[in-house]
Amino acid sequence: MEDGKIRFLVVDDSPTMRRIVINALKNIGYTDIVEAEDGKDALAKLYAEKIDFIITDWNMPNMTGLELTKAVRSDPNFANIPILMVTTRGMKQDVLEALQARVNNYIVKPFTPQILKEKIEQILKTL
Amino acid sequence: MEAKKESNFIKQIDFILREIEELKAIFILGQRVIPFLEELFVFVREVGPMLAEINKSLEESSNKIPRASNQLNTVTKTTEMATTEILDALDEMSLKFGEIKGYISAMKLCYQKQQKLARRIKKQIEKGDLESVKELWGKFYEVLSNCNGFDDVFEKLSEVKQNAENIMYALQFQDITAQQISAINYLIGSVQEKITHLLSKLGNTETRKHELETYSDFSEKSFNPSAEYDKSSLKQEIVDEIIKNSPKSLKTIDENEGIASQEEIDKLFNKDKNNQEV
Repeated sequence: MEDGKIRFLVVDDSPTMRRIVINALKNIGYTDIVEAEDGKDALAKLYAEKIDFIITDWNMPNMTGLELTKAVRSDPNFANIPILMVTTRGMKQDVLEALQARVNNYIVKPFTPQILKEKIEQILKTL
Repeated sequence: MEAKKESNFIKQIDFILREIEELKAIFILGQRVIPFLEELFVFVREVGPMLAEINKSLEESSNKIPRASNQLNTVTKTTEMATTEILDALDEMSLKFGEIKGYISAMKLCYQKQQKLARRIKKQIEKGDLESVKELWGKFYEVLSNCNGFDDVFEKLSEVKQNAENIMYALQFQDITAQQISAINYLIGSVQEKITHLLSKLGNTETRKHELETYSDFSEKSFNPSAEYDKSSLKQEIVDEIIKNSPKSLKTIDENEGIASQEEIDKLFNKDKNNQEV
């Protein structure tokens, strides 16, 4: 996070969802955004450029959001990057599993831009 | 008498020989039938479990068909909900655009009045008739103070922007229905797999491998079969509650701690065990 400018990594296999999340981020005022289409792609982006905040879907081919979270947390280079899970999975067990993998917060789809803003701010406050 | 006895004896010998021939024929038939019967026994022995397997597969497959049908209904409902939402937002937008057009027309009229008055003021200034200038300036100021449509236009534009954003967020249904459809494809794929497996067991070697490959593209981890378009905030509120009540160690990132223990998760489970589903 240089000069207060946060670079977001938006990970979702649905281009529509990526566009919606990116649109919401831009409306909030965050314009530095990188996209990835699944967990594997996201890891490649993490190694290629500096990322400050990850917003990830759960269900994705190749590598899920949960697997990505575990991979990020187990790598000392990225372990402290905040992760916000945005998913259709709304079972209690899912939330707990995500918390166990150490996501910072959790949003159930469909979400409103207000919720996204709130969660990002909540996470940023704790950093 | 002797000759009669001899004739009877010969008849008996012939009879015995015929019986022996028949017996021999039966033995020859038996020799041919026994391997066939053995094969039949083996077939019956093998076909039993196969029939049981067919029965099980058909049962499993027939259970999957209603599930796929339910999923299709969910897709229809989701699409209908989102489409209604989008159409409502478009109707509102259309109404607001009409209102904006009205405000702009009124503002245009007001601007034309001001232009007219400004031209008359200019003429009177050129004539040096200051009294008329004063009178016209009063009228100009009155018209100017009544031209206040800008705030209304801004308000309506901001409402239209909100409608456009609502449409954008309603489009999340695409991701949700995509997951529901992937779940259906996965179910169809597994039924297809069962049928192909059965056909290959029954000796049909022309299994459509390419079709199976198409279905196998739908990896189970790439979709959530329970995905639903629920716009109530209830789910999010419960998720927030779980996060709020979770032990601190589950929420904070500590490099030394690693992944949270099962014990911590169990503690959390016991805390609100009555709430099984979010």
